[in-house]
Amino acid sequence: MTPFKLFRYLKNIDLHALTAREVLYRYHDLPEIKSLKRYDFFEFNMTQTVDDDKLFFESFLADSYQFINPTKHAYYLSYMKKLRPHSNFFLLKVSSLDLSLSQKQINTNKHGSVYVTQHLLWEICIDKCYGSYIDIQNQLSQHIVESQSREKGLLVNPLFEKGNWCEIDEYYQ
Amino acid sequence: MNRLAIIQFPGTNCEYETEKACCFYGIPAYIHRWNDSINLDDISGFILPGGFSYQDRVRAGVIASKLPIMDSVVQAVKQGKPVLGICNGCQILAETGLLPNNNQSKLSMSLAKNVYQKKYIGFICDWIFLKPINPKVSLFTRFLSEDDVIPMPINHGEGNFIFDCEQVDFSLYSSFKYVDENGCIIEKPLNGSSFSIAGISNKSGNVFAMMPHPERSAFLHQIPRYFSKKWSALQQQQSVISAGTSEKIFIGLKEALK
Repeated sequence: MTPFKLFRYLKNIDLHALTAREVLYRYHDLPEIKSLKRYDFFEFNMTQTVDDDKLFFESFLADSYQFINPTKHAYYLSYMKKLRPHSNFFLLKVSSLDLSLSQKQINTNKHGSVYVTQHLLWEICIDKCYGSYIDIQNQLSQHIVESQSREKGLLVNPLFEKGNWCEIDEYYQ
Repeated sequence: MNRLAIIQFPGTNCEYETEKACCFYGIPAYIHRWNDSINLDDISGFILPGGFSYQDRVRAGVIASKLPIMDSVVQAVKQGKPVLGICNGCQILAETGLLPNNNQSKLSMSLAKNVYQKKYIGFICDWIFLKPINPKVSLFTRFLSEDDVIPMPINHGEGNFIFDCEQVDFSLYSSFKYVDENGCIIEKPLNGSSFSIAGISNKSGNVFAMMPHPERSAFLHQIPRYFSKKWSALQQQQSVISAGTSEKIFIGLKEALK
């Protein structure tokens, strides 16, 4: 069964993303990054099938504040929207090297267990096209992904995390 | 007169206690704001104190590690000047790549979230015991012996030392390990730290990064009486303002500055 996806983000300013973008602009000399957003990304796998998984998960999420606090969180289900339609989008999924630390089992009353895995998604938007998509992605990998020193990398600490680029079509609609 | 600079980043909250501890042990020190200009000739060394620099945004210590002031810290390390990182300061030094190998092209050490029994356990605020290993390598631990068992408080959510073991040979460094009251190493400490490491030096011994707070055990009266019968008995014998359990760390630093 395909995991059900939840993308959670802050309604108000995300200071982590704001500061990360500032650092990349000031200290990594990357003015091309026009937007940097951060999402908490949850994948839900169920042990039993349900008739309408979207309806089930909407009800599942609404039943508690465990995943969504409506005061501060907004979210997308299944797919995200591109808010800057004319930009190039790059999506980096950051996961713990020990994935078991990010996994949880939740037992429901009627529909068996739901297994949840949590990741972090960084959405990087670049307006100017100064090379092919793969070229830009490779340059981003070299400069901002894995922290190797003070001058190189920011978003992933390779000693306890891993970063993987995502296929855009699988996450946006 | 040269003084030790205690760097105050936005979100640092232990700088004043650190300055007070330095003053008590006769170490000339002052608090230096992160964005003030600095003349390295006037600085005898650095302390990066505890707190939550930049709110631990992205990762603890990573934002502060990129700042221009850290150029001065890197330069001071090369000059052999003492640099001490406490808690958040330890995280900043790890993200800077200065410890333990000073490999500026690949991180060899990092501080991850506290993990216990395969679960993230969140923030720990407690007293623990430390034991120095290879104390003679570092100027901060050289007056300690491997028989010493030192109580000290910890206060962190990301104190889980992770090492790139291909790069790190522990016999080359001084370190602190988490132990019980009898000095036996706790194989699986509460924060999940690899090899039970609580602090580690570089090869030259002039840099030391530790997660426990020596400024919070600089005075004898800071140790809670419930925690250790031995130290509680000592408290009752001595006056209120007496040297605490981190005395030899500060003395090591003071002697290095002479």
